[in-house]
Amino acid sequence: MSVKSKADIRAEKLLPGNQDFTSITNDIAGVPEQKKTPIQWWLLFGFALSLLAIFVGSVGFLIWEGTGIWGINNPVFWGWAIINFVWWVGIGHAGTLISAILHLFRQNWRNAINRFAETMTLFAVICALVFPGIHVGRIWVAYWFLPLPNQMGMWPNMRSPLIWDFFAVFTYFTVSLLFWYTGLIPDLATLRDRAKGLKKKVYGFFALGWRGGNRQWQHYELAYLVLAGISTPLVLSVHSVVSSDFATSVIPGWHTTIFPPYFVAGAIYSGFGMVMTLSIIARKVYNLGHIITVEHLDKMAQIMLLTGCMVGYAYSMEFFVAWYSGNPYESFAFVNRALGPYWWGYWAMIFCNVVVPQFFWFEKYRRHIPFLFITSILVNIGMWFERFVIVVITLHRDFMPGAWAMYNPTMFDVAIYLGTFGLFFTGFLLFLRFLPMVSIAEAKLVLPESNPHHGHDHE
Amino acid sequence: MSQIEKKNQEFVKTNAAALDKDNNQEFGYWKSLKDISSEEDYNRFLKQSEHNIDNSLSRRNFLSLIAASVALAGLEGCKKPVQKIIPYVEAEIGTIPGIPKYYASTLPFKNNALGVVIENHDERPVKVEGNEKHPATMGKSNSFAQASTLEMYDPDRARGIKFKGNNIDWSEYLKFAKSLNETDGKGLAVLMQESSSPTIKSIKEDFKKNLPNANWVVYESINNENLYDGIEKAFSKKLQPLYRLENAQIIVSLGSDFLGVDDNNIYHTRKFAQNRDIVDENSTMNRLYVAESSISSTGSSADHRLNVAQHEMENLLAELAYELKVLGLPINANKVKGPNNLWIKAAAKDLMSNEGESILLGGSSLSKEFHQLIALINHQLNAPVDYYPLSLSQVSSINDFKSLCDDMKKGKIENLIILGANPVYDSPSDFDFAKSLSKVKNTVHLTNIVDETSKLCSWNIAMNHYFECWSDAMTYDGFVSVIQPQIMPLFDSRSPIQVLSPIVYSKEQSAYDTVKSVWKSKIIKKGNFDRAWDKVLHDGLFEKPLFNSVDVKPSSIASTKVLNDNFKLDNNKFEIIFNPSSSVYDGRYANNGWLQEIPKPVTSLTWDNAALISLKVAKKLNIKNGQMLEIAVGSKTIKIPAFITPGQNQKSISLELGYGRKFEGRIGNGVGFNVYPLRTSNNSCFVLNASIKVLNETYPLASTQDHHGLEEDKYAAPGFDDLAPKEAQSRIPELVKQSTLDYYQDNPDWVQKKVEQHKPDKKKSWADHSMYNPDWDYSKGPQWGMSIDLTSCTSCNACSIACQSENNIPVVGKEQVMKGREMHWIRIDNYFSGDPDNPEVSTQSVACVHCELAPCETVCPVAATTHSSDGVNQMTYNRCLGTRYCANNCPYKVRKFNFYNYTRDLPEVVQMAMNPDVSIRFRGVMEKCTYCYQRVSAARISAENENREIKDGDFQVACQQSCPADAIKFGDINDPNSEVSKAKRRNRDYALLAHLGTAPRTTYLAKIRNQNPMLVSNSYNGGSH
Repeated sequence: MSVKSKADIRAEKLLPGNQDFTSITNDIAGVPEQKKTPIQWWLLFGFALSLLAIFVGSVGFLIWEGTGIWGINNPVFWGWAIINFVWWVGIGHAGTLISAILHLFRQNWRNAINRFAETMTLFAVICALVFPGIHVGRIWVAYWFLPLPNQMGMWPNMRSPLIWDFFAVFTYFTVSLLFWYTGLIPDLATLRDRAKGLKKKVYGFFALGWRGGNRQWQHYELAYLVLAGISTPLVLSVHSVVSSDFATSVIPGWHTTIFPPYFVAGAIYSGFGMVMTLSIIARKVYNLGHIITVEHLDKMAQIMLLTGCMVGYAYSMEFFVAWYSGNPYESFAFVNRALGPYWWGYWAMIFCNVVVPQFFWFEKYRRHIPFLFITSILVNIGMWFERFVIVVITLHRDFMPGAWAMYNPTMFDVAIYLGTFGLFFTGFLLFLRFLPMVSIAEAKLVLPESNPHHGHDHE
Repeated sequence: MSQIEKKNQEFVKTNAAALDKDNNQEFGYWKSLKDISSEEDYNRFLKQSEHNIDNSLSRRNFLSLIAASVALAGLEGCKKPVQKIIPYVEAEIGTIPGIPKYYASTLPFKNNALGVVIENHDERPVKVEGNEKHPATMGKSNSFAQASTLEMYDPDRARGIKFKGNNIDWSEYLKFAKSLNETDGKGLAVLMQESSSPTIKSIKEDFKKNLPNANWVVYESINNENLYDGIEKAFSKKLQPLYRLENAQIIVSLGSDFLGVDDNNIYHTRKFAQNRDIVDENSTMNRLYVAESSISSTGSSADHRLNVAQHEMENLLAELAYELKVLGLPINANKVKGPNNLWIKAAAKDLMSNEGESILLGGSSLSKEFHQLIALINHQLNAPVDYYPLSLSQVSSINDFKSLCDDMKKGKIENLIILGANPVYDSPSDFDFAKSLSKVKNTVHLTNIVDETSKLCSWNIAMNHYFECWSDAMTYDGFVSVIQPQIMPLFDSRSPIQVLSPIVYSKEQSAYDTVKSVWKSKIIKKGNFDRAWDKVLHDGLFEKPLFNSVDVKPSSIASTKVLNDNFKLDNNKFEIIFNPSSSVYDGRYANNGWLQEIPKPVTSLTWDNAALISLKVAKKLNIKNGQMLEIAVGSKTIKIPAFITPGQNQKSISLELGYGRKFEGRIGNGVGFNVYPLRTSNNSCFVLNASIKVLNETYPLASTQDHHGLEEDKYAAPGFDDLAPKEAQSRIPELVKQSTLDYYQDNPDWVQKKVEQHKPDKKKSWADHSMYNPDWDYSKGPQWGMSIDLTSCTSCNACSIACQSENNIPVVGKEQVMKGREMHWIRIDNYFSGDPDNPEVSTQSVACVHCELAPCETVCPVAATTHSSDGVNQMTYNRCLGTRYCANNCPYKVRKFNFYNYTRDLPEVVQMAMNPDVSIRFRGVMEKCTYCYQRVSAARISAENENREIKDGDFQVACQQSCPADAIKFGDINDPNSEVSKAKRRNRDYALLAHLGTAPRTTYLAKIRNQNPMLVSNSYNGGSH
């Protein structure tokens, strides 16, 4: 009996059971092709829509009344809006990392989750982009962020990190959208080929005449590679730029050079958390356990362990530098995080981001799906608190004790945050309903049939 | 508001009065209006234009309406001579729309006169400043004077004349008043507040003459009667003392808040601060000892503060007298055993060794015996106190008031005329004035707002604001100044003169004529009256005082036997102290949003009064901030929230008067808690043996500052409730640099050393270390800068309200203040350190410091905040989109954000109080101190018109102008001779948070405390870091 090749073993791990091209296509394309929408989908969609309604209502009220409906004050001029912005942008990071960087490193295990992750990125960045727009005092002039030619010759202030931020996130969104769409083209063609009537026309329109020919695949692969190349630096740059909103300021607790790498690590950490949450739900609801396997989840848990340790290192390094600098303002900013009025926020962050991922040293926990599910949610709670710590705890006590104050969020802070989940899930559920949630073409890559070396491994 | 009134507001009011400062010429434009100056003419004219009132106006009709209204202005209202009123269509030659004019006038405050200059924009008064020629203000002002603008435009002011709630014609009142004139005055009484007006005094004399059996009573709830009585006991004459603090090197205050809410605070602060103006280490300064039971502005400015219960104040004085006797002052005093020995000894020694330059001051509501002894000691110390006759002013008399109440109760009073006072609210609770009032048949209340008293009076007559009428007032030292109208009465209101004259003279007299005739007969007796009168109108006051100081001769020798030491406080009981409110005084300013929202000195409380309790009492009884207390004195009880205050005596609870009003004022109705029920005629200063019950309910209190350095960090991690206070305390020496005078003399450069201490490269400035690049050359042209002297600042709030008035800063209300969204551009930080019972207080007023390398400017995404070439950090409101990033990145946290559209529901009348030179900010826009750039621009334009450089003193910014301590200097820092440059060259100069390299244009002069080596505490002198 021939010895199983490494590729076979890998394929077995990633796509267990006797799967072939047809079964994969049927399994994945079968979901958007369902004649009857599952009742669970409708329930979830209804829930998402009601959250979206909360979002629309509270944003409407915000525009009508002003930012006073939030809990922000002097000195905490930024509150949940900015926390949520950074949080959503962070979540978006995993998508690009999975699609682009892991693609470049030829980590084919990503193929089961990359579509998911990319879609999540898109909607997360949309949720994030809502906040710079609505958090300003005069929403109707928010377009002044754009460098539009005008009769006054007024340009945005290019020295302001908010402008860098604005450009960084928009670039990121644009590239992510292109990347996602490029990856979708072969799958759209598959759906087109299997559909009839109007559906065929719509899928056909977006499939851009894909025929699966050799030359098309050649061009496609190259385009995908180029986009992956463009996206890769963005993974690092976007959150670095977001972090400079804080790092370039003079406020103790913000003014730190560790922010860019630490923000990127945190972003990937939270992004993987969100991908994990979503994929565990999806593989359960759509019975895709054989495509999004425990192996995938294990790999994601390993990345979360890595990035979790990185943020943990950053937290301790911040404290070390605050102490080592001898700057009393800096020292107090950090002591106040851990022991001040919002100490619970800080320790919630430490627990979720530093303590919890330590379980991932053990394979048992990396493969325990309920544990993974709870952990993935804790990770995102922890990362939300990280931004809370940075934004609120830093601002509420800075240089002048005479200006120190407490910050209390209002129901509208909560409503708009919950509302963005409505925005996110509405979009995500529509995606699940109409598009293949796993890349059909790429999922097949790990099958032995895709391996031209047939038992003769490269390594 | 009727159409006519509306139009009136737009009209020019001028009077011969207001001789333009530089233009003393005759005016030739009055005559044109004589045609319609009679009443019939006016009515005819009005009829002609009546049909126009509700219709749209053509230009022609508009002009005729203007003319009619102008005539109305002259005939009705405050009875200004008609020929002095001109419409804008016939503007005074040289009138330039948009250029403000300034008229001298007087703010009457009790029996004092505060000379002011009022800024009129297009003939609308919008800003009050002190009158430099006036001896009681010397160009300075206080928060009450600053806020009087808003009082003028209060939409809740009473309007017209009402009889039993119905509008009624003025002629009906005249009929009623004249009927009173026909009697001999039996059953008639006039009740008024304190006044120093010679005109009212003269009316009073005629009143007594014409109506011999009538009663004229003066009552003021916060008064100096005990002080005057004590002086009478000492010198056999009722006299008004005037403390010449500029000549005092040692000031010992026993319970007197002479820098705070006590009368004549502008004068006191100005003179006190003169001796605190330290140029260099060779300068001398005065030394202030304060003994008090709850910390006041005065106490927080003290070099040595002693925490002593109010009822022990007499013992303290006795002890001081004994020490003075020991030191050789002829006093008949026995030793009293007291715990405060060292402080007393030090104070006594200082008083004695500075004989002739030392002074003792006493809390105005303490007993007459107390004041008698103080007066005698001052006399023996040869203290710089001048005494002036009191006979020309009308001061409160509790006995008169009591007998009036008795008469009323007995039904002996049929007609009662109340001028301005609000006795139903503020009279002693044992008099039960409301009940007495119900026994009076006809009651007339002249009032500025429908208040507690008005509701019980049959006649309500709206009273003029001092912007609207003719009158006069006199300072303690006899300088008489004129109150001249700035604008037509907005609300069909009358002055006391108009109300009294038909009663006294059986005919209505115009206030103008009355004032002028009194001046002619009693004040300007010599020379050409008209010429002198014109000068008075121009200057605001008559140059010669009515009287000189009188020599006093003690009628008895100083003896502590006069003192009553019978005060006994039972165990577990408290003494309750009644203090005038620094915001609403006795309640009279309750409807003034500026004053309600200004953080009180020391506590930073707004929009409420509270029972101030000491930290130890709070711990013992487990009382939290805002916890409701039930305070019972005898059978009377009140409920009021507690507020833990450092420096509060453990035996006493301080209550602020003036809150909990029930009246028709939308701002002040129901704000705070009425404490008058506990205050009786015998206990107007303090009351002993009050019991408190801690209730199980809390009340939200709005304080603008959470962290003073001595409070607990109540939400901090368990076991770390000293986190914030400890940190705040450790930053005090860094933020409010301070040392004792001795230390400063030994180490004159300690401030500079401190600033340089941690600088990495000593050859470079801090700005060179900044992360922002200095990319502008500020060495040319005028460069604006400010210097604030922390040694003389008393944290009186005048600057903050002056700024609010000048810059149209909105009032946001208690709820927004509780959220931390107050808008004041100048905030006053109070820090405490040391013993919570007797803390060291460090105050600091902070506004935008105009960094040359401003952290706010780089982060604004749309370049809405930028630097001007003259070094001012500017906000472009209509470019601001409200990301609030600038405010986050401001290390001083001086930027204020319009979270809502705070001016949306501003009543139309209040809009008239706005300064037209400053834009109103919309919601979503950041704002902050502009260095009063509108004033900078105005000065620059006029300098350019005159083809010259702008020079030092051409203008003042609002805070600088108001500051009674003269602690704020502003000007061109490129001009080496400017006041601000001189201040900045002093070796006490430092920039706040200099190590950030922001290069602020506003710098501070370190606080120097002149501590007695006998009592020195070591915590000053630069501190840690």
